[in-house]
Amino acid sequence: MKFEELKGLIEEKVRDLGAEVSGKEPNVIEVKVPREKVVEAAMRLRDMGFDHVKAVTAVDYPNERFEVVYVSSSYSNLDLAYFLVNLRTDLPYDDPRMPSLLEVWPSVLYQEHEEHDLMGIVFEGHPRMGERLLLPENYEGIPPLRKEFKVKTEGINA
Amino acid sequence: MSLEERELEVLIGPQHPASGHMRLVAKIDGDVVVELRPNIGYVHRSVEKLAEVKKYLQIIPLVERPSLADTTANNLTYVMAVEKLLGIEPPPRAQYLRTLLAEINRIHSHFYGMGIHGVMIGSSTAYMWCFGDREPLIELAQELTGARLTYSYIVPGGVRRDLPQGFEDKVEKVMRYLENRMPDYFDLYFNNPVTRARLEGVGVLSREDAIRLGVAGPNLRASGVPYDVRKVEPYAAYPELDFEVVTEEAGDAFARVMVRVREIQESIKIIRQVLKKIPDGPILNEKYMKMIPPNLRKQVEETGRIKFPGVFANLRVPAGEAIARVEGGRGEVIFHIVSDGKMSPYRMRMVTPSFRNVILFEHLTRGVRVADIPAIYGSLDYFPPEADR
Repeated sequence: MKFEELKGLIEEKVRDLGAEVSGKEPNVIEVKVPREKVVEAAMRLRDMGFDHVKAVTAVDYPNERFEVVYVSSSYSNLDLAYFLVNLRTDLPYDDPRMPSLLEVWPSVLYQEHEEHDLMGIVFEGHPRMGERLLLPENYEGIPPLRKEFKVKTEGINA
Repeated sequence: MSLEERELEVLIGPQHPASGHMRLVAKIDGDVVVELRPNIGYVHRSVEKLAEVKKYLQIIPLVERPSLADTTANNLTYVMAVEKLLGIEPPPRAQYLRTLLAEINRIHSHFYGMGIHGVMIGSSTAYMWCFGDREPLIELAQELTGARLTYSYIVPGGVRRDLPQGFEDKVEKVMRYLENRMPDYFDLYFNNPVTRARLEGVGVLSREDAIRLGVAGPNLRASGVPYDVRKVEPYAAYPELDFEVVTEEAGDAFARVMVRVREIQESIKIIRQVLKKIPDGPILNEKYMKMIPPNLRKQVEETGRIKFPGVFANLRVPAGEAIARVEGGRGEVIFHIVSDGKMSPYRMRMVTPSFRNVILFEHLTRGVRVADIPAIYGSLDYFPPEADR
């Protein structure tokens, strides 16, 4: 399948969700949707054959927004496997919650949990919210991947 | 007695139950596992956070450390993501050298996994053999890169060292040794009725579940999914090389081991092709080569060892986003880098195959015997520091 062809196809599928579709040649397609529509968009992508998520990346833009990126692709359709479809959504800085995509993509179980643990994003409907994954169980304070958490150094810039 | 009364919680770990520190929390009824939850994070290194305060070149050793047996995959994926942002391509010879190291690493990473698995199911001999036979490959990698495991061999725009003299002959010797050696493994271990009884039909992962759960690497291919990044999105010298994607249909612990054994044979094929086809030429991108002062450049040409151009110390990477993926020994490695044009990434996401596969501990152990836990654990080639990052 050609890049432009797939991009057009995805655009058609998610247009009514208010999605912005763009692309980076040769194989990355970006789909940005409002957070209310993210589950529906994920379902449509999954039904097109994007059957698993490779990475969930949450990015912190202090006092502005959080961006959550789901990097999805296909195992069952090797024509699609060459492409990466990034489903993105912005979350307001003071209310970083969004619906979990676990029901759509079971492969996000640990990745959403990690972004909850380290970045403090709340994925509503995820069964392990409030539990720690990588951090100690008694950890309190700023989620360490946020920009306001500063790494302490010992004065040696190595 | 009701199930709640009969149920017992058993803690396996966290003091190094097998391949690193992690804890398995098993709820058991008699010797049947009702539910098993992996508790990870004991060896978390916070690579993603540290990357935000380290410079781009300093991150290379950082990303290698979590996957000690499979460092080339992380090194290569990270550098490929940085190169995408820099718009830099390595020269063809460097592409072949990257492939060479990646395949040497794949073989010894598979031996590592198979050895650990062997000792987990009680075959100390398999462990000794695998760790012994891993050694010649580590020696090769050492001669090429200068290090046994943490190579930091791949740098933006190329590789650090050219082929040492007479390397081809040494490689051929090791490849021949491996080919003669593999039948011994079948005689003693793989065709051993005890091994078969412990692994066949144990921990079966169906094709649908492997896809749904986003499993990576040999564990995915053992369930009949022919997904291999080297074929799907070819990188380095793979587009020019001839090899098969190894798959098995059974999806059980034995199939997962067999995929690794057959991949070792494919890797031997690839390594021979690399040494036959490797083109002459520079091993670092021209742009960087020109930045090396003339007297040092002469030394580089004579010794085949790169001196880093000054620009590497404070490498600035243009703003933007890049995702790179590579098929490592344990599976697909993903790096997602968000750059804001400064000397460190704004955000770096590193997803390793072990982190993708940790979900299998819950999925494959429901209803199995307690004695099958190590047989399943080992077959996943799971490495806790790699999952925790």
